[in-house]
Amino acid sequence: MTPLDKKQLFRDMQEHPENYSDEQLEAMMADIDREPDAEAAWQRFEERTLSPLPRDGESLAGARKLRAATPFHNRRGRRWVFRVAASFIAVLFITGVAFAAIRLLVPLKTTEVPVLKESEKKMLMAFRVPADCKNPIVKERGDGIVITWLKGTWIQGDDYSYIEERPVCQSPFLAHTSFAKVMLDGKELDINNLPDLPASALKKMEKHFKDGRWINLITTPVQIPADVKGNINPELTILLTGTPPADAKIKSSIYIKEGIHESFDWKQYQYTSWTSQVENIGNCLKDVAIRKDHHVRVNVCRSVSQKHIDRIKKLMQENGVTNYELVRQ
Amino acid sequence: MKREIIQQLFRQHYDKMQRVARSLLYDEQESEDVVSDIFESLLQGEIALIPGTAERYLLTSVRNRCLKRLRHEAIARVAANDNPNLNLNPNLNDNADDERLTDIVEFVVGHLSPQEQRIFSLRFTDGCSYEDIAAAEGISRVAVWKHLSHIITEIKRQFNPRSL
Repeated sequence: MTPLDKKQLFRDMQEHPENYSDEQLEAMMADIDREPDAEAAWQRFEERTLSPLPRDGESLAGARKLRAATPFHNRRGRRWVFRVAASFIAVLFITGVAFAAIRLLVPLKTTEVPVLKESEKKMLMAFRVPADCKNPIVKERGDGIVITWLKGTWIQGDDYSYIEERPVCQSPFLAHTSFAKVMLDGKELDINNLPDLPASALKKMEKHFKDGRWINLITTPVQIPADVKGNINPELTILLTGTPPADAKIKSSIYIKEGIHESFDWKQYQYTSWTSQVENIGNCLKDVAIRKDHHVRVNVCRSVSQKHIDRIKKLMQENGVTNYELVRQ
Repeated sequence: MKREIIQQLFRQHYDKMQRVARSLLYDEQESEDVVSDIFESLLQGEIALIPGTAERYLLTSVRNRCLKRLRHEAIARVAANDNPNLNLNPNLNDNADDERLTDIVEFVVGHLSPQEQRIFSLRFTDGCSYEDIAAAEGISRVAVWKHLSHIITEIKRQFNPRSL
């Protein structure tokens, strides 16, 4: 039965329930009330809303919707960054733009990709959509500007403000000129005539999407207010539950929360995972390890196996976390 | 709204929201779209939630958006029958739709029996399962289905063009 047939059957059951047996109605109700896979739905939601590009099989209409729903990238969060970064790199490969040795290093609170090579530390680079580009959203958005900035840059959005703490960052979103206006010191940039500036010239980036869509890159000296802090919290608490909590819709045996906390209740934490591509604990640890004054507490519930404890210890070591403690329930 | 809060809300309410959407649209993808659209609105800061009202707001939003979709579908169907070449913009008359949705609530209160009002509220405001409604009302699940069928049919008849 096709989805359309099923929908027609549903409508008919609603309008003429007298034509159906109790068993048929019960089966329909069971189907409607079955428990959805919230974790998978959340993954799809994040991909849909936070990735700038349509994925395989995604329609242009869906991509348009995504575009309308995605105010460039003023969002902070870790989990989807690698997806976003992957999209960026995919675009680069698709279009033949050469960025040698772009490497994803750290899970980021903002949507940036760290880059390593000095040659890549240009503040502004043009992205050109090739004539044979098959990606409809890229074609629709058109050419864009890639922005790179360094540690110490002041980033200010509509409702947040912070000092960049990662060494080198690059917007994986291409600042498509049809989507957002990019300005340099208040003057709109011409993508055909980008100034050749080092990333170190960028002192502040203002990103505004609530009142129009514009980015202003400031290269003149700025006085950063004392209350503006870095974007990496050096304190992190990890909760190991052993097995996924029975009442958790998004199943995992590992959760996190910024700061140091004593709770062993998973509901007080945020979801993460051991291995997920878009969000995993290793990414979080790499992020925290950037801060030399980091402190990670691991709350270990009673049912946690030695295997999980060994695993978290190994991850600490792999990701450069040196100051951590295990606290058993 | 912060992403962490959105994630928490998603985790807490997705189940019920999807249930409400399914029981109006009976389409997995459309239902997920409706629910996702609401969280997108929150993410973009288009909507601010008043503390303590999150669940009610989210479920009411699902119900209203689903009813709006059904109405647009019905309009499109009628229009297509009358004029196959007509290309309707589904976003037209959004304000009129919003007023209509307020009318639906008034209609429910004014035209349905007290039991049907309770069932409507349990399903579409509280996000209860058929099982829970049956238990609350002391009736069978099939009876719940029939009540809800009657309620939805009446709403459609009242508000949609030439019925569905």
